Amino acid sequence: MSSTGQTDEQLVAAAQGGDRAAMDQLLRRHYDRVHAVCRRIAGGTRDADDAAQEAMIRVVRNLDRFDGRSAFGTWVYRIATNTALDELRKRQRRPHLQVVSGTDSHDDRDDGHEPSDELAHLRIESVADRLAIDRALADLPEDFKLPVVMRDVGDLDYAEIANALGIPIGTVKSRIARGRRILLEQLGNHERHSQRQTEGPPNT
Amino acid sequence: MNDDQFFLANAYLDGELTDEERATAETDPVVLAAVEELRGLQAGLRDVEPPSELSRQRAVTAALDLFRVTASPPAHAFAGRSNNNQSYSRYLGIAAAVLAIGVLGVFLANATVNMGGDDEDAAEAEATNEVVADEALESASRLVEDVDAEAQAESASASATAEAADSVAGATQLEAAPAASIFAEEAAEDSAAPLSDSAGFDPNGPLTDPTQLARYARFVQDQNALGVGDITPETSCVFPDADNPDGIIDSIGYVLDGIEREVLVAVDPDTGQAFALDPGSCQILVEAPLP
Repeated sequence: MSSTGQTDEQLVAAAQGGDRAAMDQLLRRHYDRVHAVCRRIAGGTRDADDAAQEAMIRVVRNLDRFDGRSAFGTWVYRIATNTALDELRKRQRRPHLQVVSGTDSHDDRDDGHEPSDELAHLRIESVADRLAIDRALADLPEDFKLPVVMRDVGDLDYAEIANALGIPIGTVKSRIARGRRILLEQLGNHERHSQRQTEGPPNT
Repeated sequence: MNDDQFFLANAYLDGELTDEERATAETDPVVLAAVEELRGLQAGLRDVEPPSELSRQRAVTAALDLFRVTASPPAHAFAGRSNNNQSYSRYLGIAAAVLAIGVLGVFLANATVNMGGDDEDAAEAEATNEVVADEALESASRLVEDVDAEAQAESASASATAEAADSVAGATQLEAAPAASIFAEEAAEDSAAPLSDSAGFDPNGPLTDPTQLARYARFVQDQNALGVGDITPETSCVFPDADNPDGIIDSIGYVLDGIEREVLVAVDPDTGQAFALDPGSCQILVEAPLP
């Protein structure tokens, strides 16, 4: 059976009946978003890879329990969130290795090279922005980070987030707002810091 | 911007406002400016480096491997499992044949002993023996019938094997009564405990620990040696080297970290180790010395 163009609901029904092609289609359809959620919660690409794979496995393992009361995507992103959290906690239990030197330390990249063209400059800006967001998210307390990521990356609504996290909708609403405000403030600091670096030291 | 305006901007962005609240928000330039700022943040949060094709493929493959084990109806069961059912039916068929041979041996031995008694006792003993033999043959037959419906064709083959063994027993019982008695004891032992328990694993899987893996690998090796083994699963994994005919010998379910997944079973005859390999990455997941 061709599964192209079918809705999630149709694919879920087929997959629950044992249709492997339908399951394949569902997993591929949602993988990128699952990975993005995991990336934003777990923090690193490798951890996100691991978490996203584990999330896919959990989706399959629990497919029989999915009853269609929420959208399939919502259910999947909730699984992704929980899996990424598990990954994050697992990582926090691991001993940290300090990078003494080398190419992995992008954070304070200043190699003295001028970007050779405008596109390269934009690419570096994009990387810098991503790193700034990574850093800001990493500093954001979990209570704020989860609702913000579930809302802005996972696209879950307030009620779904409240249900997933077991907190009242009002709390979700305020945590999202406060979390975003903290992020904006931190990114604003980053923006000002970048601007100062571009302008150079003030003349004395 | 005060807190109310910021909260309004958040709710506006998230589509969580009533029509009236939305109208209020849209007339306030401070709120609209905050909405734009929040949109920028949201876009930044969504701007994640896309996953590599390799990680996508690996994740989907791992999940689908599990799907094959957990969600497929019997007709879609993976090849290794289907083959294992065939092995199981053969195993049962052979056990049935052994049981039949043993019982016939007992029957013959009793008949021989009774030849020395009077005619009435001999007739009674013969009648009893016939009943016992009939019951035993019936249980042997039931044993074969217990095979899963999906392995019926193979069961028929196993029954044929049992019948063939029966004929052999018929031909040899006159001269091999003591041996038949030994068979009977073995058959009694076999029928007393489930086959899976006596073998230390369930041939239908899943395996649950390295000891079971090693025993199962030995079982498949023995079957292959007898020419009744499974068809080696098709795989791109080469183990331990391309020239080794004993490398990958089967596939079966294995419970690892609480999750049942399909693994390839391999044996390295040089080291005497049995291995469970990941069918996607060919990595060794479990290993154990062969019994």
